[in-house]
Amino acid sequence: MGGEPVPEREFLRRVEELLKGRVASDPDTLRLYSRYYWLLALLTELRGEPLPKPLAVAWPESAEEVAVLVRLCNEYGIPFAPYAGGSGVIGGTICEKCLVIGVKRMNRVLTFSEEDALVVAEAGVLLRRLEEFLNERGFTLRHIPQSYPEAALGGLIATMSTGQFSTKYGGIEELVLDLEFVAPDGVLVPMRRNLVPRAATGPDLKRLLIGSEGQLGVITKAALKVFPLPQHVWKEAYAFPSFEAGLKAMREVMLSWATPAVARLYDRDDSAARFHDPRDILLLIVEESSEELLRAKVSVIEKLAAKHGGVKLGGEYVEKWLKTRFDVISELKKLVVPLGLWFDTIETAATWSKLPAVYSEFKRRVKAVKGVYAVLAHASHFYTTGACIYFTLTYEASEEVYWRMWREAMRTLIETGATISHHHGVGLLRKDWVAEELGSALDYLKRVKRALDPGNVSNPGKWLG
Amino acid sequence: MIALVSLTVLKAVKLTPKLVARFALLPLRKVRNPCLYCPGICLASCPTFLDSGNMMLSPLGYSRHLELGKEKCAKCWRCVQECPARHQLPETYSREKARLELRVLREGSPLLVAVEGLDESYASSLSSRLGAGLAVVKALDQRYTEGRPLEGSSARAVVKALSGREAYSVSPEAAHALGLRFLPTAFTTLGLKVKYEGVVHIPCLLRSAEPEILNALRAAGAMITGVDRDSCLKAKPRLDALYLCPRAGKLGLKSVYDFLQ
Repeated sequence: MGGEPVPEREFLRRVEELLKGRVASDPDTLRLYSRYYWLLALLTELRGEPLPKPLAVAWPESAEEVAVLVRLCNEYGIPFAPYAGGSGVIGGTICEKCLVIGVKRMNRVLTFSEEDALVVAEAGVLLRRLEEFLNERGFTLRHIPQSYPEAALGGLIATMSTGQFSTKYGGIEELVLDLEFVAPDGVLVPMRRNLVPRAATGPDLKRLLIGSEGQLGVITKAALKVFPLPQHVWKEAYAFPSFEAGLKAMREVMLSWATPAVARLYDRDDSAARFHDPRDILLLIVEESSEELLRAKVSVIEKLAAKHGGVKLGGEYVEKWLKTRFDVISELKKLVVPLGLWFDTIETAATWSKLPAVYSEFKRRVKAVKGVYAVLAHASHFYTTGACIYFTLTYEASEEVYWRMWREAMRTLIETGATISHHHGVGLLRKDWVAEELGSALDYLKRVKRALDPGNVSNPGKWLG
Repeated sequence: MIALVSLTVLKAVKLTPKLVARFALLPLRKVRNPCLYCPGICLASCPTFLDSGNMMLSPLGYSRHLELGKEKCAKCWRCVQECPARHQLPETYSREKARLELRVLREGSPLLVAVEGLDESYASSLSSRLGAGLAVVKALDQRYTEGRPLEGSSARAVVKALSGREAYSVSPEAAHALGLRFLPTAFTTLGLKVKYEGVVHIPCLLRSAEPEILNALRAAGAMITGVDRDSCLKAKPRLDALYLCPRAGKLGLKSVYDFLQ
């Protein structure tokens, strides 16, 4: 097993034979690949405290090499953890004594069809590079999370990501047409023979991989929907009398199909921090290929915003957000770290009827936790049935405070009928709460895991066992 | 900074006496290595990372292991251009500073400015051909090969000595460090023609000047069929691209200075 040094050495020799220099097991590399962007792991690293270290990091260049690696893992009983951009925040890749399978060298865009509006790319392609590739051809994936500069495709699918434009274009699960993956037993499961818009050919096995967080194999390739770059854009911000009034306006906007690409409703605390304007502010971007459609949507939105007391603020705040939307470092550098504080984000979603209570209870209860100093909130993704609320928290840089805050946050979400995660995933962070949300469905998911991965080598120790 | 801790912002914070005391000490507390807190906003621009897929060979690795950065980082400044905090990571690898010194070898106007050990032969031959002056900056290339920070007073002295003169930097390095005009953007002014058809690489250090560089090369006669913004001659150079970096000549790659007419 993994703890025995001789099989480990033999295993590493076989991996080295296969990859010829594209594997590392030196302490510095292992330490860097053990940290990831889980804020607790990062805090641990910054304090110089140890994190669970992988056995080695391997960089295959093809799905076939991934398959051989996974078969070797099965042969030697060594677990593996797929690793894409390293920008996840839930501890999904932290895996002691695992072989980390880094997919970043599998980074080719394989096919792009303007006529069919789809692209096929390898799992290690950086999202930004893929988007730039498409933009040069007049198209866009429009999947733009805050991790856009560093995230890679496979990780976005494995964590069931959403992006800043997902209100219109949908989360990654709505963009994926098909996948190729290496199953936990080392068999390469190819894409369908035919790429089609939809097929009623039974339950889609590939859908299991979306949100699987590396526990059901390694995603190696994906076919995705793409869209022509929109030609007409409208940007506006509104101040509402309350956060709830903003939510009501957005409910009507969504149900009237005047769907914006971006809608972000900041509560007054969040607005104060980001815009130095302590009002409940809604940022909107509507973008369309057709000017007529844009005008029609804007007209509907303007009426609904006014109906709920929205006051136009112009596009300045939208522009400010566009400029700073990927910057997770400036405030950390200037304020949070020098103050001896730390931060995290907790995202949830709920239906319209529950959202006001989710919002107010979360703010009240979590801000009351000892060591928590600020709870900012904005609704960032909207649906016809409800929305995602994204909380940004600042607290004492201590593991004790961290878990106290998370426990209260998860209890609040469960008790108010919200989900424990809208788009970051479960990982190690939320594994203790996922059963409460999924009920017996989790037991069946675990059975699926056992059936696909009898050796339990695919990112074990997480929420699927 | 003042705006970040304005009263408006403080309304969103649960203030305790301990936190208020820390706010008071805030000006004294600096974060010296922001890369430690960053997910890697610059990753998609790092040539050694893009080539290897290995985070150790990226700003995340270099910032944690300065010796590795000194050895492996391309010092191309692309990460600095991407960084919201404008952290000058490539200058953190060495404690020893690069102490610049300007030596004017031949007075004249215009003045071509070379970097010692990098582009003196190109600069010398061009200065003879154009009847231009020639100056050499010592130690500057240490910034781009070893990651030494510039010694501030010496850099300011060089900039001051060149101010008010029609000075052109032969290399992207001197243009970047000293704010000089990059010579290829003045080829037409100086009567130089470029005989080249193919892909042109935009110098990593001067990415923001891409339109100016391309327009100048076209005006000088270059037939540009493609633009390479990705490769880096220190990491994974393209054999088919024309580099505006004099270092290309030394590495057996196509340097613009070998295509002048």
